[in-house]
Amino acid sequence: MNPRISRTVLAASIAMVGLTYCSTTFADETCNSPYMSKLIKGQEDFVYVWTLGVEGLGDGQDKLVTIDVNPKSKQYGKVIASLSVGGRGEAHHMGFTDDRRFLWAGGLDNSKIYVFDIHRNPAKPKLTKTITNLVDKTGYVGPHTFYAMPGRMLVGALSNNKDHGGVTGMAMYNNKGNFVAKYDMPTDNGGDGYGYDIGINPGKNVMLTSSFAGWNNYMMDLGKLIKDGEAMKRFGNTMVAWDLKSMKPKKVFNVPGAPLEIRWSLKPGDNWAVTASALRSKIHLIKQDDQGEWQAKEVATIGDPAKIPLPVDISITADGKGLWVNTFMDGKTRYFDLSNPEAPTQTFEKVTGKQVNMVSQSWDGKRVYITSSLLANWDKKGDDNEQVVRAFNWDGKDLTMAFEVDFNKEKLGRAHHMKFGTKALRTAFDEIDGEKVAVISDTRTPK
Amino acid sequence: MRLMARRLPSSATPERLSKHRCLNPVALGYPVKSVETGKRGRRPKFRGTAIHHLKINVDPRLRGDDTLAWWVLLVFFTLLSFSLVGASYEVEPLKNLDFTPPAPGTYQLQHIMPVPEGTVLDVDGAAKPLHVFTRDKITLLSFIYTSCADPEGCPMAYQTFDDLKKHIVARPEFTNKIRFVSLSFDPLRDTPEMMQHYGGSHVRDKQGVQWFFLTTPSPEALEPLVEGFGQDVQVVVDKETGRTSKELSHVLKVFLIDGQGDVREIYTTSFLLPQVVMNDIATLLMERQNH
Repeated sequence: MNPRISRTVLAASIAMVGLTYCSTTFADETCNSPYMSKLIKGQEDFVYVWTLGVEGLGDGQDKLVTIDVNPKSKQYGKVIASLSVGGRGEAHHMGFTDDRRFLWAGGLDNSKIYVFDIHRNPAKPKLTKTITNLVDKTGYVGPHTFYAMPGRMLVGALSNNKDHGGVTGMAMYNNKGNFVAKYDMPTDNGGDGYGYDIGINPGKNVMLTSSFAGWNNYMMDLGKLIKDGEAMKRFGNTMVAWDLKSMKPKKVFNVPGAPLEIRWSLKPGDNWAVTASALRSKIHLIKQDDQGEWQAKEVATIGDPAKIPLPVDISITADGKGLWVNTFMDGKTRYFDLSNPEAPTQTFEKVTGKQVNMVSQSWDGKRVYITSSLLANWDKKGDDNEQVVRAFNWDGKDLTMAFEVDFNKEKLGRAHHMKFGTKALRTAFDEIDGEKVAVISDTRTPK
Repeated sequence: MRLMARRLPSSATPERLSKHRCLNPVALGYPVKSVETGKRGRRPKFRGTAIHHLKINVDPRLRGDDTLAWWVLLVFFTLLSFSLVGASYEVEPLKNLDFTPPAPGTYQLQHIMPVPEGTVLDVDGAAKPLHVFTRDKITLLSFIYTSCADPEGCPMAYQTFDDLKKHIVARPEFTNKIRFVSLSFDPLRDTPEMMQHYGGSHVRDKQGVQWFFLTTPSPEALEPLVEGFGQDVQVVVDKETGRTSKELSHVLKVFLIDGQGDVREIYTTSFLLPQVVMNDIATLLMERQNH
């Protein structure tokens, strides 16, 4: 046999040996879809930060910033990649596809959806597609939540193109970025039609959605908005329980004050979720009663609601026993003991910034990351407009800062949503030096 | 496209490989219907669910004129054969779910994507377009490889198909309207002959549901199918050394395909519930009747 062919066949055979040792991974990462695979349960290598562009700062564009967060790396705590998307459209949230190969990110103002390849070279994401048909296909505006379903992405929007108010819905795309279907948020049986986050419990065939506000509100200057009594009435006050299989709304809950992020407990056997209402500063529990009926009830207060601390993000621990809460106005990161989800109690708080928005924790709970930006027109002004990513170590008693990246100083923009990355996985079907490679079974670093 | 590998892992000898092979659900504790096969192939250690033929070693003392003994033996094997047939199609009740699923026909399954085009090999080694196996009937397709050792992975898909087949056969309205396809990830090891071994008795069993065990001629032929279905396969990398390990990672997916070749539902492990799959099949059949 031709030695070259022989080597190739041998190589391919050996490559396929890998299949013998396949591992199928599936479960939750603390804030991801239950359909998400390949959770990072050890040390994360990268934090991807979806960053709002600021006029006059750097290139002024929205961008995906990659920070090396592995303490063993020489570039620890440094920005190692920055990928601008060609414009500024109110970068906000992101979500992985179910196979964790692609990261979808949305613009609340331009309604564009950006698809980044993060598996071919996790240290240097690549923009592979920009989806621009959301408004045309659905009439929705402001793609906010990106929630993985098997082979699909469910996109929760915030607004609509008729009145730019809060009545909206969810769009389903397949993982290739092709539109599949739309689902309006209910406006009957108590529904206000507003949307925000999505949370699925497949074992119960239930999907929860929450509600925020439309384009008119989230693009308005915050100071002006607070003084506008009519505008302040236009916030979501509901959550909805959906039949997941049929994608039909089953029950509308009254959860006043803009219930935002939804977090299902990840502990096996637990079938409850929590949310925090931004304007009323409350934690709500969503759980089945003794008759199996889903109910939502207020179970805790966050700070002093009279001071409007504005809880904007929550992050549940992997064991379902703790909850990080970031309150934007006072810049505090708070920890709630969730051992009894019927009565969460705050056990820790610390000012982690002049303004804080997102909070993300590692699977083991030892590392906590925060960002600073809420919305371009809602962020604080002047010296209080601090724009950072800060990493902390958590020993169960205190948060100790490990590093920070100053996004103003680096001329990057406003740091918003974070997702973790790893260099522990790479595709088995790759393209290297412009040539397709079927399966790689040994070291080869792509250029 | 090229294939590359620059280092032969010392552990990847054929001898080592055979130790790690877990050819079918039998070795993982799933029900065994036959423990010996006379069929010889490239993998003599195969212990499938197939009943090719049973070797009967008759005690010499029972040979000759012992008519009663022969009658006893005849009755015994007659009963045994009935029991084996019965066991093959014994339908256990579907497990209770933790929720009440919507009734068939009360919901819509979306057109998620068309099935990709490509060439596959059947168990006889004949090259055919994939659409031969994904059109006209309702199809459940899953990527597998015969050496998959993860009980939550390919063996689970096999067992689920096996269970579903019993339930489908038990419902006359489903007869001959559904097919299963198990398509290998591993074309170099999973030859048509290997797939025939893996499929066992299901390969030739055309009762109610045809189950096809397919592979591809090469990795080059496989790649567009894997990409087209959005079925990921990733290599696990040692972060310390940067070397790729022997371990691959993928998410188990089962694709429900309608008669026009459109994927209408995708199930992963966390949502691979036989009762839901049965309802989805019924929904597609009702949809067909209504058009």
